[in-house]
Amino acid sequence: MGIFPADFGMNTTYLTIILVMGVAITAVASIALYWSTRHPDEVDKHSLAKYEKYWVAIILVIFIAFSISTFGMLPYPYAHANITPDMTVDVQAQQFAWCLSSPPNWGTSCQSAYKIPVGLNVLFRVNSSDVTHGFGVYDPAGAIVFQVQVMPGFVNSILYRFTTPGIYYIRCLEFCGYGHFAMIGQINVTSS
Amino acid sequence: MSSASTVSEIDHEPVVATGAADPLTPYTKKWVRRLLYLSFLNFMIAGTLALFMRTDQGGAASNIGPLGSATVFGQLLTAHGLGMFVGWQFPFAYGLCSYVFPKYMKRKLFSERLLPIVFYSFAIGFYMVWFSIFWGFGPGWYFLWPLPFHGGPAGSAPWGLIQAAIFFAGMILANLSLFVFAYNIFGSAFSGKYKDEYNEAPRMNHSMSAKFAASIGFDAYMPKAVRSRVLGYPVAVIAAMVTTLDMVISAPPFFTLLVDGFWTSMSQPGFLNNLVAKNFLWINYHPIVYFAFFPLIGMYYTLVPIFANRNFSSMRWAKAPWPILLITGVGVYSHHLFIDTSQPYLLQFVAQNMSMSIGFASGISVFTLFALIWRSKYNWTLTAKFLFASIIGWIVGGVMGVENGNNALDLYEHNTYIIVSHFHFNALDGIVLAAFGVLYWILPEISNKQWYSKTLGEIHFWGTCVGGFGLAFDFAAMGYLGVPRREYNPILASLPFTQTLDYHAYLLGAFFFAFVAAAAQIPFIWNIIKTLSGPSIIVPAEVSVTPQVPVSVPTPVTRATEGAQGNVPENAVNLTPALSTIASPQSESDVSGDPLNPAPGLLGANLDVSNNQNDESNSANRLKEL
Repeated sequence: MGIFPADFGMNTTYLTIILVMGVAITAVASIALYWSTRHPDEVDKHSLAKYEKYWVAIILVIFIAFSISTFGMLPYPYAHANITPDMTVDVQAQQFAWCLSSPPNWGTSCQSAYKIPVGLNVLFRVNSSDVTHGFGVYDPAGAIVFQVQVMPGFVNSILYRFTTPGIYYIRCLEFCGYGHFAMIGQINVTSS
Repeated sequence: MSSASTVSEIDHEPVVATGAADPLTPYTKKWVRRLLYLSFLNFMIAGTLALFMRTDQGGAASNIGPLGSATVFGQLLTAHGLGMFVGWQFPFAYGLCSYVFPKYMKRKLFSERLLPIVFYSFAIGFYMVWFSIFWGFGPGWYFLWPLPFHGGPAGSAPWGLIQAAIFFAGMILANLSLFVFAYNIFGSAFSGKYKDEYNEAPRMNHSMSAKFAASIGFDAYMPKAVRSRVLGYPVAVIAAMVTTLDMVISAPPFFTLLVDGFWTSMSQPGFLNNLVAKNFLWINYHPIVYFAFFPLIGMYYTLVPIFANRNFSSMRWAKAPWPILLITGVGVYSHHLFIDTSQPYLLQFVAQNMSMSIGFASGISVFTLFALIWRSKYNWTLTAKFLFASIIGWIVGGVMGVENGNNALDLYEHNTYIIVSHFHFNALDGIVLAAFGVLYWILPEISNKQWYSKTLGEIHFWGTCVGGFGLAFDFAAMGYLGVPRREYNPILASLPFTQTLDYHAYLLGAFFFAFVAAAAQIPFIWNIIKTLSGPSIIVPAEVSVTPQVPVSVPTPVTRATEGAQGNVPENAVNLTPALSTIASPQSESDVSGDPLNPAPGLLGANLDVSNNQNDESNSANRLKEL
């Protein structure tokens, strides 16, 4: 049993499928609706309205199920108090650079391509010395794997387990000033 | 293109001679017009800024040529976002809501004299905001603390604290207009000074609590015995009330934020910590996205029955979403802080479920509207097309909103182009398209000018749809690739996947569709200039409807006044034979017969409809008559 959305197959492909299905259903419904106005029904003027209560019940069930089913997937420490991280990485952000270090060297002893062994439950603790940033991590292929907000004065945390070795890239995902776009870093996930 | 050949082809709200007792007075019309003109002027300016943003994005810039720089891009994204969500939405919502009360509730505004105060305080405040941005202020339209204060001689931002101070002073002034506007709206809805059915219908509950419940659509949830003594409000009015309430409820924290911002800009110590500041921001900035949208949904409920030529089978479904939207409109805000793990989990839990609730309420609304259109003789006028397209944008944006509103999924979507896509579906392809549709519908009435050209209107419609939907889909594709938003240049040599995933092509696509959407506004601008500079409509005296046509009669129809005499208000003037024989929107024969004369014994099923359905029916009548 996993604890991360990715363990449940949650990724951007999954999300894309939801959107494509939504668009397809909307398109079909729209075309059907347009067609129906070209074939007006003189007798039963509210043939669809009588199904409204069933529709309400259906979407209510869908939304409740959707919401409940994902509560267990939150990759935040407060959602998984029973998990002891195998490793902690302290992340200090500042305009426009990242500093990744091991406790207790927060903000110092920065490593340019921080090494993390694959398969470990890693706790990232993030903080900022100036403005709000976004700690976003991308896999080698360019898919976003997780992110957490970095706010000065607060320590935000996220649990993650890398399953594939390679160079992962850090991008700032919160506008933090005019050099924001160039605020990048690296994590080297090793096979051992 | 000959104006003579195209004039009057755009269907619109009938233009009638204004009688002395007409609640939509020439003075109100004048200020509604000015507010709408201001909003669309700001829309065009903010849209132009967006076009510059598209060209500035790295990939596109390499082909098209940069118009700006990283610095200018920060200013552009600040000015564009604020221009659309504040500069466009506020005056549009002000104008539309100020139109809705006299039009559908048949009441003069509580104080027409407040309209210029609303107009000028907003305009001056907002242009101060834009001025500060063009002077260099650029921390993003959502200005997360403490970035706005990183300017100054020792700061890291290229703007000074003086620009920040002007920005916050302008925001405070612009938002003060909201309170004046709200005072007018609440007065119009609840004041006892009006001698009409809402205050004086016999055997009805006229208490403040009953009026308030009805004004937010809560009567849809009341037991029949209670509901029968509460006079329902028109849905268009309910929508205006709900959006105003949401804005007012969320205003105190936001004002605190703005005051803190101004104070800090004056080199004084701030009193909000960064997390509280972010909460105070989004408490208000989420309802902002609904400020114009809710009244426009109210207009869906008002205009779609006219185009469908039939009435709702029951107004309870039309009213049911509004109490939900009132609560969730504000309560949902914390989903903007899903990835702030310092945020209390309870707020995240509430936000996720409220996000689902908004999807739920929207689902009810969409189904109700589609059910009305289904197999109706829907009249695909220009406004009808705009409204229909906007509902499509609403649905697609809503599906994405359900994704975004889920804490676990937000992990992949927050601050990527998926969010940009979501609110462009909802805002550009939903709110803006609906706003254009409503403008085409009401402008002749409030300006006494006939639209110059339907052809230009059609070009405007199709161009905006192609550009708007194309842009939002392009953003969605970028979002699912993980492209970050708010980046001057998402393509970096040090990030190899930005080349292999071909961000460049999507950025060019975004520029192309933005260009199409922008180009589509040119015929609109030409059309509106020619329209407003054209001759006024000459209203035939015989169409002067105030005393002859029941539409001018206060429309609420109470159970007390219906009774065995049918659903005709006691004070209604008899229909003239000519008008009474004109086909009204197809009546509810399966429910209640003619909405003006429902079958005895079936009144209960249709009573809630009467408030605005009579008006809608008569609007259609007048349309046909003209």
